[in-house]
Amino acid sequence: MMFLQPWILFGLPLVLLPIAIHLLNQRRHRPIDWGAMHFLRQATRMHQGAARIRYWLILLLRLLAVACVLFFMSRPLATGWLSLVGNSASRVIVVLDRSPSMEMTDTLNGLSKRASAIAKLDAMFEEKGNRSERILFVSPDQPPVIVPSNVKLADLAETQSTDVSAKIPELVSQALRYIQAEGLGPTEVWCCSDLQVNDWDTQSGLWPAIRETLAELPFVRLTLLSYAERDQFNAAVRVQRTALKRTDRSSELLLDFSVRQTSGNLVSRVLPVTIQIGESRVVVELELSGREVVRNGFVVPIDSSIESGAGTIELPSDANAADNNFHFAFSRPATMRSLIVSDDEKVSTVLQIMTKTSMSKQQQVECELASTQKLASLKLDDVGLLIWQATLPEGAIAEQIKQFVATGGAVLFLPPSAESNAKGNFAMFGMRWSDWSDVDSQDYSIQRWRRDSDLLRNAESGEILPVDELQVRRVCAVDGIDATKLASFSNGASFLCKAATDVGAVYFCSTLPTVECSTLADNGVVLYAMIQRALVEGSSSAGGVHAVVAGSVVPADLEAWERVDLGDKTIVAADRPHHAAAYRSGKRWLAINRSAGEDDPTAVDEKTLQSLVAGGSTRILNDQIESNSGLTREVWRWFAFAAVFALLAEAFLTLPNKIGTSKAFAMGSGPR
Amino acid sequence: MTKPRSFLDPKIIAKLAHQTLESRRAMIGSVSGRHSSPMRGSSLEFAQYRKYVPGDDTRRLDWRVWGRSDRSYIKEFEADTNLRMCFAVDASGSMNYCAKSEGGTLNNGNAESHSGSSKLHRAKSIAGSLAWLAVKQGDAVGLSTSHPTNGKDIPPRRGARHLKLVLDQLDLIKGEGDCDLPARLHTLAERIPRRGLVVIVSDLFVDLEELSRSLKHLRHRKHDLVIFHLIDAEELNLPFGQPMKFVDLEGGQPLLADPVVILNNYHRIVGDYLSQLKEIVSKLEIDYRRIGSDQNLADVLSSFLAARAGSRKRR
Repeated sequence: MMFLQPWILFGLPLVLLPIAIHLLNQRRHRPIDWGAMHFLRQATRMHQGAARIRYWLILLLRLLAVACVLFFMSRPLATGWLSLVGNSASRVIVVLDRSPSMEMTDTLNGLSKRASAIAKLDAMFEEKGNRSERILFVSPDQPPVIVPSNVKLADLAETQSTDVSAKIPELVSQALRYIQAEGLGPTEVWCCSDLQVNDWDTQSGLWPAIRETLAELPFVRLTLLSYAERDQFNAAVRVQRTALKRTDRSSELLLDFSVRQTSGNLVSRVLPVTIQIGESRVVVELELSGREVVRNGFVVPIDSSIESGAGTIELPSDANAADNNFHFAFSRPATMRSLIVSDDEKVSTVLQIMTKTSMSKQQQVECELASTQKLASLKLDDVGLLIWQATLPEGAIAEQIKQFVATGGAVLFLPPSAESNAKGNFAMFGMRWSDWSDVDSQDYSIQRWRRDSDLLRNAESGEILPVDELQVRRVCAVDGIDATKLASFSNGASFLCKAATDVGAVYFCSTLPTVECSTLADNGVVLYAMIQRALVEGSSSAGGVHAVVAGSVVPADLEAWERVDLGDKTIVAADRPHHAAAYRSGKRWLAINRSAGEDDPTAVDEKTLQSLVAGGSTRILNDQIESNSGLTREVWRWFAFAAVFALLAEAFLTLPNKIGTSKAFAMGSGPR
Repeated sequence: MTKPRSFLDPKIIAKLAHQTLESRRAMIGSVSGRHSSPMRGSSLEFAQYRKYVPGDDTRRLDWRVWGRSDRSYIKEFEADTNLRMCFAVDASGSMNYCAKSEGGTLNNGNAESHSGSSKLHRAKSIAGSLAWLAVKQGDAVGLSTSHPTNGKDIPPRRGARHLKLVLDQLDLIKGEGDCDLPARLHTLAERIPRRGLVVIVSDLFVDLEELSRSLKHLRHRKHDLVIFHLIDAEELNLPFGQPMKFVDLEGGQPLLADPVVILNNYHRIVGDYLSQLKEIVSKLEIDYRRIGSDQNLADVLSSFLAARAGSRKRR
């Protein structure tokens, strides 16, 4: 609790005034010489129990009244609803979640969760007289912002919304490290967030460290100002895939997109979805029922002269405007280029055959072969698929591959040849090769694989790939936790898995297309489908079209790119990577969008939240956007009421008893 | 020149001068007097006949009866004797209490009220006046003061010189300390050799059980008992409207109390006390007089004497 007039609290010893008066009063009792003490003592003793309680109660009420008057005169400020806990830190660190989900706006006051949190923090600082030093943490990649005392948080560019997911563990960790590094004293850390799981990353390895640090810093109090409510209707749109097709007469753009309800209460309604490509505009009515509606292969006719471009899919206005748009870029299928890195001639021959054979006559494919022996760097320009059949790389090449994946490329890792030493290789994307082992084909038959999506999905005609006909004789198991099994052997081991990445695609296959290892080459169909589909997926971002997540790696010369969508063009160049938009530079197109996790409405529950930040002085304030109450408020009224109540109760207790109810004794009425 | 005794009021003396102090029971005195005796004597009042037994004084034979019936009867007459009167005066600290009532709230407005004098002063006045009356009519007077340190017993004797001794002793009495009246009464019961009249002047702020036992002791010794209960109306009614510091006149710890708060309990306790006292005095046939500070002593004593004069004597 803070006080606007703290010096009045020096008068707290006045609380003892009633006791002093009580003692003085005892001395001021009129003395009288009395003979009938026997009666008096008996009467007092009879009355002692209740009377003593009453006297103590009266004294207590008087103390309370004086204390309340003093507190009320010192104008106390309470933080949060009835949260009368001390709040006297001279430094306040604000950790702000600026993710798109924080743009959920109240229809009445027009404030988003982010704006509401900032407004309330500003009001709190103002009520405190702007005496606290304020430090703002908004991104792990940015240094803390020390806010001048005369500037409101709302006026700072750093507090404006972005389309970047907030990395709360990193931000909190950064703030705590800052406190330790600067040797700050008592510090309040305010973390404003909507508790979205995507931002909080409850599985992050940073949380144990945060808990330990909080326990080591007892003078730091972490306040979680949460806006977890999702009552208002909100839908988010997302484009999964684009493909430009040319027919004999015209061109058409195929769009796979989904609309997902992120509000807590699901409703059914028809939404007009607008697809804007350049000047042309298509509106499609989409009936939204349930959590998510997916529309695959939606055809948008476009000018046949268009070779590439960008567009935006847009939902009508709802509670959160930040997830109503999604930008996409497209281009004609360019030559699909693949790069095979292998030291095994047999394997590379098979792979070359598979990659050079295009599924469509119109589609040009090229394949380049490289060996790790003379490999200093990879030439990944315009490459859609990288097939790496060698020991997992490290250093610059590993970084290069990561960059390649981050820009939407696809990588298929095949185990190093049996002759190579699989041990000691490095991890890529959380995965690592294990040892080769000879296996029984019966035990290693493939019975389960994903047929609805990804590399082993059924053909468009519905035909099933003959994956179960594969025979595997040697297996090099792949170790890793963050992988999705696309196909697995009958004993549960992985045949083909996909590493978790935000963009791009990384696959690991646990055997080789050689006679000694499997029938992948003999069978052919499965391997061909796998490679061609990976090539198509990787090539979707090649050929000058990129789709990235806001906040991730973007072209270094993005400042020079031209923004082609209809959004806010006043965003400063340095902030471009953090905002969803579509850009063009010559024949290159770039679509920046929020991450997929931002459309997941799941919030961290309070129990989990408490376990995440256990160990220190932490409190959770559940606020609502529509709430007009400030984070701090003057609570002198409560003390005034308490003082009045105490005085009234004291007056009631000091009311004299009914006098004269007893009959007076007359003299001369003695027994005769 | 004799020092005037402040507790002897001429007005009281003048009022009592024409009255007599009678005992309600037969007394056994040392000399002939005006009070009946359980013995047979030579007064003019016929008592009874009884058969002659050898050894009787033949002068007391009723010869007329013998002449008529040839039977020998002795004619007996009542004996008159004097009264042994002993005062037990309470000299405890509580007897120093002086009424503080204001403006006659409890005062009856009597011009001759003794309001303002202490209970001890009034006790002395009662004892002195009655002692004077008793000596005047030839009775013996004694004094016992109930005080553990300055208590002094004066055995009952007749005569003006003895009266002076009693009055001097009364004059010397100062109220202080606790009340040991029950113990004093037990002592008195043992010391007075024959039947007498014991007059107790006290505020009776004692344990009623003990008091009852001591009074029973006295009654067991055939003494006639009179109690002048000096208690003030303020002490009965506690008529104070503000918290006060009550200083114990008997030397105990002072007590801070709000009379308003404890009034009902106080009245209940006083009521119980008076009820018990009433039961004791009724059971033991004690002549009980409760006297407040607002009552005129002359009237109280006069009515007391008149009541006793009119009561039937028992032998």
